[in-house]
Amino acid sequence: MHHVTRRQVIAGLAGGAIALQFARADARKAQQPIALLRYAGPDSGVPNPFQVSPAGPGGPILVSLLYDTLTWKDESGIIPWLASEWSISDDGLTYTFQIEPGAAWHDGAPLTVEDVAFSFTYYSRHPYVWAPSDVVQSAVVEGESVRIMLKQPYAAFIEDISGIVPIIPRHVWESVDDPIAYTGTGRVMGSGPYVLAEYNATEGAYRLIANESYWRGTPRITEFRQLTVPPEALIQSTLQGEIDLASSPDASVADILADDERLAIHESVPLSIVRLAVNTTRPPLDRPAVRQAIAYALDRQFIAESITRGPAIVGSAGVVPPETPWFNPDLRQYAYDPDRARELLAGERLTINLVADARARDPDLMIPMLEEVGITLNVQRVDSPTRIQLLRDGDFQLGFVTHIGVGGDPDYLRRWYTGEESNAFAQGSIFSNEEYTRLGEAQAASLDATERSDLIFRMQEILAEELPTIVLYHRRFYWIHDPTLFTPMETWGGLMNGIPFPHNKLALIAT
Amino acid sequence: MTRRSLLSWLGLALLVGFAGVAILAPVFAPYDPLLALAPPLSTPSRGHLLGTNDLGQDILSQVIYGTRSSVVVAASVTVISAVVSWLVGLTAGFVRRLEGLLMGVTDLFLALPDLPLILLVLTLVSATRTNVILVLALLSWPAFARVVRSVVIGARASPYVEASRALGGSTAHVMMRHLLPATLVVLPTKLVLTMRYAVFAEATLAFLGLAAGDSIGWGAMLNLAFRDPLLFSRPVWPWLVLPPVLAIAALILATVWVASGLTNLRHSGRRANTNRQHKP
Amino acid sequence: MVQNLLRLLSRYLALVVSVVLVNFFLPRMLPGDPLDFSAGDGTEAAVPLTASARANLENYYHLDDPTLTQLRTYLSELLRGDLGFSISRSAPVRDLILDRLPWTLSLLLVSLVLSAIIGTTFGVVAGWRPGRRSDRFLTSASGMLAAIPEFLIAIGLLLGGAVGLAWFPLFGGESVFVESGAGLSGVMHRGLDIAWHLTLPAATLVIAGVSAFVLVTRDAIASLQHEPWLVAARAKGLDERRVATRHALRKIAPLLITFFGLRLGSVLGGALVVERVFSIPGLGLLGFQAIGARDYPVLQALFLVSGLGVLGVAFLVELSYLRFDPTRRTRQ
Repeated sequence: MHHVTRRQVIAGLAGGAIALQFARADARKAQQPIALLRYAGPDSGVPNPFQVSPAGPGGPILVSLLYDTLTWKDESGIIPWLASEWSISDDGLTYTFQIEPGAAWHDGAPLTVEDVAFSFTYYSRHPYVWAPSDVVQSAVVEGESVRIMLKQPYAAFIEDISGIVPIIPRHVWESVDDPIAYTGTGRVMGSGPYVLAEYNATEGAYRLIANESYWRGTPRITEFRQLTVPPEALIQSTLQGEIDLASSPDASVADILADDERLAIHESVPLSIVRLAVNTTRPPLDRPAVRQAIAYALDRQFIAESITRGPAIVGSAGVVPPETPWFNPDLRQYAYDPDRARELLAGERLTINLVADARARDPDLMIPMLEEVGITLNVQRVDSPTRIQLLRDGDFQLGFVTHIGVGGDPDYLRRWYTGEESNAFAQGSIFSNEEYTRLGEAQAASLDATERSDLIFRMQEILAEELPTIVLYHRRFYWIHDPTLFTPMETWGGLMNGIPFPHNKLALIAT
Repeated sequence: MTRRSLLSWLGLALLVGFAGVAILAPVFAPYDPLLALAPPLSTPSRGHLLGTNDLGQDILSQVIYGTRSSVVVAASVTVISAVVSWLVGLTAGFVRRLEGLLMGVTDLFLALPDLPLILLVLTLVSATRTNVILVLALLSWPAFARVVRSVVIGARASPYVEASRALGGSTAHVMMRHLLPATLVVLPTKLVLTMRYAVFAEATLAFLGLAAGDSIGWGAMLNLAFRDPLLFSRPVWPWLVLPPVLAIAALILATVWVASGLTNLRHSGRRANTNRQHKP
Repeated sequence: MVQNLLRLLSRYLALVVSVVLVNFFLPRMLPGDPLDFSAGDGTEAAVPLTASARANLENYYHLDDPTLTQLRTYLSELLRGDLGFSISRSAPVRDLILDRLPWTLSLLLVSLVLSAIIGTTFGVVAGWRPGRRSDRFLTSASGMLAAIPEFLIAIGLLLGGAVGLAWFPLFGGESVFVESGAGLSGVMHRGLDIAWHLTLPAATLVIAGVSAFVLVTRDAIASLQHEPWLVAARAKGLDERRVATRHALRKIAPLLITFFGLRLGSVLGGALVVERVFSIPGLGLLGFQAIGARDYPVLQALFLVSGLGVLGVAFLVELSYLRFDPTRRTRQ
């Protein structure tokens, strides 16, 4: 047997260590192109409309960088995008879009009206999970424009459908029968400002390169990378200069990064909602007095400040958040008043169950507050999928829910309570009120802005009275970013259907 | 007294101490662990010797009440696991017909990977303390069963058993008088090692987010701490992390020391016990 | 001999069948639904699925088929080597597993081999003169090391090595979007990068696993000390080190091999923790995320792979017994 001497071993180890350092230095050097923005975002699967991950908002935003939609939103409202202009028929059933002549696909082929009509027709067979367009009856080419016919008038069409549904290339998808399993060429080809150069699925890392012949002008950020960074490593990575854009719901990032010269903090509009879903069919919560007592008993300001460690943004009983376009300021609200709560309960002692995610901290604060007024709160901690199931099955009394998506078009108020929306935030929405349903349907069909506003305001009033959900507070996201590279954009009502993320493609394109 | 036996006595004292704290937690803890009384994330002060956590709950009280969870889980898992595996091993060794079946089931459990299975089962039945106990007991009995079985088989062949039989002793009698004591000899080490496994596993599960949600525990405290992305940027972070860490380490060390003391006591053979570091 | 082999084979076949069946039913018993598209970590947004869209997806993924039909489909696909299609990642499960298997395997093998080498060496040193200071020190040190749960070691190394000293990366299996270049130097470059990323996770597993090897080896060597051949060898004046390596190790080799095989099962669990803490894209992390997403196909495949892997190793170990140790045969 060949004997390895001790000296040889030490030499080998030293050599290895030195080599490792070189590898690391080389790795760093290779990452320095101009205007590179590295975003710490989730792994969202292959970023096309059919394979993008249906979990979390990272997916649709990534798709919006690669694909374009007919309309889009900037800081003040809805703007034309692929559709240079559009008109709506009086009965609200026909939308006619004129398409931008200069738009082209990443492979150079021009984007035509045929592509637009094809997209909507294709989506009727294979829906885009982030914007189900089953209200669309047909989409046909009419000369230079596309005419889209709806099955019934839909007020949120421009914001929620034409503003989210990505236009896909006909020459790629027309021969594909199973888009979910498609692995052929062109599967991530859109007409958007960025081209997908590389996707490392195991590391959850994306490399997007600017589309130099983008019809709206060459994007200023030449390379956009989305990297999966575990939450524990996020601040460290940012401080070590590996990340240029990241978010935290915790206000103390401002203090922690106060000394860092490279980074700044942007506070988003508080569009993340924290609320209790209430099962109004189960006693004792079938009595409005009990629901209102719970609302009065909770010191929501204290809870918000403890959890977010920042100034509290107490929610509105009508669900639609303050600081958003559709908010009704004249609602009955439930300021912290334990005496009033005790009055409403008239000395009754109750035991109520709360279903919450194992990671939720708020219930711990709620227990003593409710105990004060005579309600014993039993917290059942489960993991997310279990919680969603329990809420979906109506197998709960109170459910603790946190989500975004309430800043955009308020049609969700209708969808939650009609059982149409089958997703995580609609779960547990149990409420049957004839007037509310009637108002909901009326606003969905209304094309008159004033009329619709009145209807939405009235719906909020009913919610505030009946409390089928008790809104606790809203959370801001604190966006850590390098201001020399990127200026966060606060999109009107949140990106697409209310996503409060700052990397609207306008912000990446802007010169 | 040798150094080794000193450690064993220390371990025993620690175990008794932990049990005492668990039982008398309300006496020792200065505050209700669930009440958010003080400013959150504050460093130790006279009122709060170990500081407060992210909600303003007293860390010291949480560590004290957390002892309950760990001790109860460890004790329950150990008892259940010991009883089940002892019965299975005894039956397998003695009742020829069932041996194949019982050993087959044992092998199946030994074959399935621990942690992934625990994760799956706990998600299945939701992670309450009872379920955690049952799952850990379920996974820790197989190894010991094999040991008991081989002891029984060995004892069965021993001269005095044969003699007893020859003299007309009934099966039950033989079992009680001869085999039982033989199997009891290996019990103490196993008990302690299972306890170690239970504390280990419970802390790991809690760290991974599968803590028995209905109680405070050391692993859960760690899980909460590490879930905070800004943890290491906060000046109070050593107080959020070290107390539960030291508590877990102390309990495990105590069991290890007691176990090695017991092993030394018996001295002969059974070295194979130490094979199963993770599933005694 | 053949009879024993057949008995062994049939036993393992029965185990394999049970594992397959358990793998099918267990994920389905989980509360929650793959079509809720929960990311498992309480992520904020979710798709606005209408009831009809949901029904379409259920149909597409055959989730609405009766259970027996699903079982039949599962078994027939399995026999063809098709492990299904992941619901949360929209990719064939086989690809997901093959992409991630190398990470877990290399972590496990490297750390297991290192633990074995280091542990056995120390174990021999300790057990060679039982009762002496070196033995007592090594044994208690190992005992203490074994008392620290893996996740604590992992966090400690992460804090020390990656955050504090910043010598090692904070997360990930390799640096992404790095041009390593072509040819041999490119491969070496990538290899070094991966080694740099896997250093801390492997170190965690080695630290956590080495004590078991130390103790087993120590006990085995210590029990050999009174064997006549060893006493004779000593009396003859043979060099101690040679006696240890040539003869003693060979004697305890079967025991060590068994132990190595048995460790594989428990190391799998450790790999899960380590993959979580260091974000190594291995099977452990995949499984953890799949549980959160209730991705049945992925869960089934993972359990199958790991269950069969452990069974395979156990089978080989028992097979080696049959061949090398005749006295064990009768106890099957």
